Amino acid sequence: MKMMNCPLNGLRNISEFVHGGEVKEMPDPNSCSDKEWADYVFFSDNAISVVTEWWLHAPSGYWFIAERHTGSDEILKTYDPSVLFSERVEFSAPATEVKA
Amino acid sequence: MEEITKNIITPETYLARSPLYRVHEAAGAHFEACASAAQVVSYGDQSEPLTALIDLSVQHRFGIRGANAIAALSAAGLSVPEKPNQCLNSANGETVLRLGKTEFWVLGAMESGTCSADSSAFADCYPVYCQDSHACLLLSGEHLPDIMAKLCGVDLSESAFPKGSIAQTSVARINAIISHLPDKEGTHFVILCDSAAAEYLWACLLDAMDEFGGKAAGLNYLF
Repeated sequence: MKMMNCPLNGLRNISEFVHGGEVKEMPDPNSCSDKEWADYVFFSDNAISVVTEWWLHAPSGYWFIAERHTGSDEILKTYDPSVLFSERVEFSAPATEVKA
Repeated sequence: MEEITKNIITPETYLARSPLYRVHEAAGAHFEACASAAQVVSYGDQSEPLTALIDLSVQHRFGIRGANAIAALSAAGLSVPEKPNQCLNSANGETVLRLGKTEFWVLGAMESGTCSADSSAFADCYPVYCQDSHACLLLSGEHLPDIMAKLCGVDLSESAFPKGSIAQTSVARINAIISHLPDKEGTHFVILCDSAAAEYLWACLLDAMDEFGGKAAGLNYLF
């Protein structure tokens, strides 16, 4: 069986992991166009190259980031998301007028 | 006659029940009150099996997570394991499992089945609910690594998985948390799995234990 190195739990069978899609920079939902938002939510590059992806180790509910070559399916590196994300992302909805 | 009926404890006496209570009733288990629920204390034909599988699901447990979790646990007098995937006993008999950098589960003391606090006592942490969502099984006795090797891909032998270790992995194809209890004589693995899969895992474990002389047992096996 294929194996993957979970940064929290160590080397595990690939059947314990769930793919979570590419790591992409989120556009500001309050100022970006619909096209930019749809691109972020629905589309992925699907290139043959080394890609940075979200993966979940299901038994521990732990999300992490893996660098994988989509051609050879070789997993080059896995690491904790805190390497890329150091701050909590807060979502604030734009103020809307309340009709009386 | 009425007096006797009153004294018989069944799982239906309480609102809190183990997801496995029907299995225990069908197998002729004896129950006693523990942590406001009916805990299996023995089976009718229970002798002293080499290895025992005990259902501790009704015993209390809670979880907390967040940046303040370590400080809050220490302030509450609970032990804090040094690294993720380790467990430690606390002075009052509770076992603290560290499942992530900032996530902790606390299992109640086995004799009383209760915890000295619950997640609501940790106001500056996020509560993690793990009471009815999970079943808690205790595998106790001999040949535990051999039994688990039939169901699980992770090496749980003494050298790779010493006392105080935790493995969060797949057991018989369902997700489970296996903790090798520290500071106890003999080998004891606590297995936490989704309560909806408890009957399945119970049957899988009994099947795997059978060739090693393993049987279902109650809390009396330990004390």
